[in-house]
Amino acid sequence: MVRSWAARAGTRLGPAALGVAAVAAVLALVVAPRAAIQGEPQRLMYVHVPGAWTAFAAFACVALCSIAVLLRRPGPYDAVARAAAELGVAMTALAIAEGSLWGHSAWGVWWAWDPRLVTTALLLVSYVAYLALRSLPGDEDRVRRRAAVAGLVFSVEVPIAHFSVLWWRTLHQPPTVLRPSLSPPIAPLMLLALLVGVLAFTLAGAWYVRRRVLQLTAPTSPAAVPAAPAERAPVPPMREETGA
Amino acid sequence: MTGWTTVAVGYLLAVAVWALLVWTVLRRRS
Repeated sequence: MVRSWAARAGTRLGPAALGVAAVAAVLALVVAPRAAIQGEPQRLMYVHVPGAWTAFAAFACVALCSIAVLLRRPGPYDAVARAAAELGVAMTALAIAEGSLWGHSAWGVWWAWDPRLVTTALLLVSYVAYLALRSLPGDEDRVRRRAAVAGLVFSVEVPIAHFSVLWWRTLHQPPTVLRPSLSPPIAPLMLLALLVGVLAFTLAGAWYVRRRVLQLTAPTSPAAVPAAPAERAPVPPMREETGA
Repeated sequence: MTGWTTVAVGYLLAVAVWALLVWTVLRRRS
């Protein structure tokens, strides 16, 4: 019953993500007020923060699935880890690009050697390496376990990237919502636009991971089926020599 | 870049990244 509910909910993820994304766009571009100091470019926050959140959630998912793979739990954990890593890489790249645009407007520079920026860039490089590691040739089980170890090790970078703005002196602002004191210093309509944006990205990310896992575990997927033996030239039938 | 131009570039970039992810999944299916 739980499985059928999950299957039904899964098929509705796409339309739900699209609907929430439409609402989020209206809230971010029309309803949310203009920022007093930063002006219109502050609206990039409604994409930048959900992108970073989705990346962190995706990498946490990679870590949990990696543990399941190492414990040899039955289930498509390896495929989920791969799909989540792909999503995380795309979202980290997006968060960095949006942050660069926003930074150029707010700080006057596209890039700064700032702890948050550097740790996030390290995160991106690490998970690109993780995906590259997965594509190396070798025994299927060994590749899976090697990727699981890497997925678990790299996940240590997620809290470092998140808390970097609290641990070190940084140009980047501290967390707005996930801060130690639970009183976000943000206008209510801005907070609403931000939270709906986070929900839209989360739903869309879940949709992507689900579709990708279905693809990776499908019987026709190259990742699910071992490679077929190389074709050989047909052996000619042996005939008795007739002689000249 | 003016304020709204920066916003437009940022949002178009987000749409492009998501479109790429969606296309990746749907393309490989066929």
